[in-house]
Amino acid sequence: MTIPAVMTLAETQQLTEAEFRAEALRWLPNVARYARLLTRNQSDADDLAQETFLRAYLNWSTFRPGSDCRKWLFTICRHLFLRTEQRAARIVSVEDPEADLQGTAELYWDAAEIGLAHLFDRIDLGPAFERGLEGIQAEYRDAVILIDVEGCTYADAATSLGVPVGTVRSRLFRGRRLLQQTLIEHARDMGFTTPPKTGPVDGRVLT
Amino acid sequence: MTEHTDIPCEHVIRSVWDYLDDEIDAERKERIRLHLELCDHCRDQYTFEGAFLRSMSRLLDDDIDHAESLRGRVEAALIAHGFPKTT
Repeated sequence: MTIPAVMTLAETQQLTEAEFRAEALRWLPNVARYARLLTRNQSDADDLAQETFLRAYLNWSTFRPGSDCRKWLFTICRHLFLRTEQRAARIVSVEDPEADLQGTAELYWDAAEIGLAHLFDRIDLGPAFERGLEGIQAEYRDAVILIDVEGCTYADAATSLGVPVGTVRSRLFRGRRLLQQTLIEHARDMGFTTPPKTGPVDGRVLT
Repeated sequence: MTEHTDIPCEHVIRSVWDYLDDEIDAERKERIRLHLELCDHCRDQYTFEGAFLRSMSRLLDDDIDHAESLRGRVEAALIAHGFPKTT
């Protein structure tokens, strides 16, 4: 790598700061919303977002130019959050991904039956998603946020959470099912449903 | 619901998340894709779950209502650590 010999220290600093502004600060609203999902509290979320940018700025030299800055900021944010919560090493409970896949299919049939097959095409569900996520147990929520909101792979999420990929998969499937259940109930309460065309549904049991 | 593919609906439905998350090997992915082309029943559920995942991936895209005050606060903290003021 060649560095122009004539660049002063102040100029180098100026360049770094311009880069930080263009690359990192533009993600402020996204980081703020991410912090809000993690903390479930506006005031803690703003503190966390501020601390994230401060940390990012002080460690800007470790950011690899051309890589995904949004993701890098989310990682910093999550690490800061986990440190304050001290819950990274949560004990794994017994989980069964197959049961959750079956549950997910049943939820879909149930939703389709009451006219909610296009529920998730609605643009007004954003606040309901956030409230739904707030209500889910932390280990499931962490997996859903990492993979579905942040866009991590199963393997990346496993590394972040310090658990095997199979555990991430189980928690993700459970978390999605719980979230869908909440959203379907919300839609029902809001009267989004259409009455079934046929008689009563068969005796499927949702767990 | 279809006899035209080599993979039963039950297996296709069980792979819904692995497929949509692209956490599946290429050969299985292709078999499922072919199945979905022919089977309305499975395709409807995949469409539903896909829309669910897209909704979540958009959760962070909306602006926040207090963006300006938070931006001011963050910039003030940065300036205290040597970040230059905007001109």
